[in-house]
Amino acid sequence: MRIEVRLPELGEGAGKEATVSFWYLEAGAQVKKDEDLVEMVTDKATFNVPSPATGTIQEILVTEGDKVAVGSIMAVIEG
Amino acid sequence: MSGRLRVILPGRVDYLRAYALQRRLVDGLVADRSGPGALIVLEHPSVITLGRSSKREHVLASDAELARRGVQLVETDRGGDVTWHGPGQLVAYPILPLERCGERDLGRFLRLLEETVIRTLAGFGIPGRREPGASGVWTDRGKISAMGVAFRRWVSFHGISLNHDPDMADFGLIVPCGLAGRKVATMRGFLGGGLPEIDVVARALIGEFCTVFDVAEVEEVEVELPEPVEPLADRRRKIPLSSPLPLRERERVRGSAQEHTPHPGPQVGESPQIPSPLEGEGKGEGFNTEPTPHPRPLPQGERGPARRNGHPSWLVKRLPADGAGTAGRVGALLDDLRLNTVCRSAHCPNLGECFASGTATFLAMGPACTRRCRFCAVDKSAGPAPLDPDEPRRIAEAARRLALAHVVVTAVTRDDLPDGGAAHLAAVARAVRAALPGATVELLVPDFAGSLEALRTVLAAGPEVLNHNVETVPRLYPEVRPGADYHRSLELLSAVKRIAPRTLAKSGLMAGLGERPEEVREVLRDLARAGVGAVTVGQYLAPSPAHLPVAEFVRPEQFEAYAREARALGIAAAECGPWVRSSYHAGRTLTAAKGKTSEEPCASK
Repeated sequence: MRIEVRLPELGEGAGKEATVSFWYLEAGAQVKKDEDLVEMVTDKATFNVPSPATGTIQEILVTEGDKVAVGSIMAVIEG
Repeated sequence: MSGRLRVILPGRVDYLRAYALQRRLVDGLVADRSGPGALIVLEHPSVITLGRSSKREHVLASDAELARRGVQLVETDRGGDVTWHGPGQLVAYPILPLERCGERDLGRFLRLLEETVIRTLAGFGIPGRREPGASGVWTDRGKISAMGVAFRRWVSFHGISLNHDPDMADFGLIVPCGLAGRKVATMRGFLGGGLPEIDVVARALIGEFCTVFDVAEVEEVEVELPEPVEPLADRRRKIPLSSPLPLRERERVRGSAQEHTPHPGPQVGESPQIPSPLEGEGKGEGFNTEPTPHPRPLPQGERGPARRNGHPSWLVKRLPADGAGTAGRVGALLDDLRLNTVCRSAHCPNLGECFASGTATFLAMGPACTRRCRFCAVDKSAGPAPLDPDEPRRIAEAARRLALAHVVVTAVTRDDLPDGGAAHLAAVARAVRAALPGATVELLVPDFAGSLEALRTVLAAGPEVLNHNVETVPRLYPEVRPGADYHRSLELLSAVKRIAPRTLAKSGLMAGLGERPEEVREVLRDLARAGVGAVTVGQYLAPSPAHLPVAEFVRPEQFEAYAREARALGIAAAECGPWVRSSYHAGRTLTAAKGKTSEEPCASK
């Protein structure tokens, strides 16, 4: 099953986007549910987006340094 | 509503150890989101940290300049640019699930942190404010508080700083927060001679935090500090050259990519086998995510059922009331005088308690030891340094400033020195005597490779107590004390009575290394025969996973049995219990021994 990894809501006070800071895994890697996938940065805060499912990372759609809007697809996992 | 909050005031703490503590607390809350939150308030030794948005050029000083000034440089995983931490600056690290601060809103969390500092400053009459487009707290004189946070599964860590009275020269090493041309302000700048102690500001900040974050219940706890953890140690993939990350980090990650284990954050589960941070049965739940991995299974049943965090309930400690501030002051004094204490080098679990009561065991002859005992956390990596002829004076000065009643001086084993350092230790004892004529002196000595000449040298300085630990039962020597000899230690102890009959001979051993009670009884008999008048028996705790594992947690009843046994054998003072260490309540031990012997230990010279 194809599962999309999206940038979650960050709350009203945080703006509507974040910058990709670090991918913990590469496309093709196995990932477990809740394992950290990617670190994002906003002004003064970092946070990790965990994998929503166990499976294989099929595709990574944004690279480090990219700004990503809340709700956009960042990666696809085949679970 | 932020629910329950545990406040941790560990004093002045190395950045990487404080980081490891935060990660441990974060992991606990990730595993159990209903657990209590935490607020760590501390000072760091001088350190420059690079946030994930840092530019290396915002560190103005060269690596050589930083090294010369003793300033650490750490690349870390918080948001924000470069900042400096160090003595005179308070740092607050809130560990809270974000949903407890209202809805999940990163921006709101940052504003609440700023609000905490603004209110704290207002309490001291300093007007602080937010600056449009820049985070942190600002004043007319510049930025007084910097901020950078991180979240794992929406549990916060890192936090906010507040400049109390830092060395402003250190700020010149960086472009703070990457904001060129902006000034840095301090509370000292506003209040001058009316500046309150940093502990007072810390308490005020904790109070405001509880108000701003709507904390229902607050409790101050003591924690054991974990081994240092590198913040970016779990990054195991090469970072592409197009990355916006600092060059230094790319090089580092690339260089070490091969060595990384394929398990994110392995360091957290492998925190050293030291006590749980929290007091009370069951209260530690949720703080350590994983049970500490144990190389050997713990014996179950009568002698020590392991708890979830690997320690039984009797090995959980509580901070004495208001102890952290005093402990911090003692720590700062020791730093100022460049002194080592075995309390810190050996990660002693009683550190808070002893420092709070103004007691410290000085570790003479430099931080590096030439023996390789597998239970001990004293540094063995560096080669031994030449003796510092000024050290006796500094130890005496610290003892005087702390107004100690009983001064314990121990030393690393220095097999590289012809006299094992005996003359140096004697000089320390004499200097302490001269500076503090009313205090009693206890020398905790190595075995001097069996040299009675060395023993005579230290006894000539007239210590009230000559302590030499046998450490364990003879059967376990090869494993526990390689290079040492049980009988040589016994001979050294029995020689004390012959050479200086008025000096109390004292010894001790660790329990929980796999010894049998009858073997301990045999050792107590040997010690009694050697004329030892005071013994200590305490639970061994492995300082890190690299050290000998704990074989068992000996029950308090067994310690009591050892104490009864020792007294029955004629050993006047016996301190036996899970928390007992060689110098634990050393003053009390001496008093007990004095009370039971007709002969007074020698008076001050």
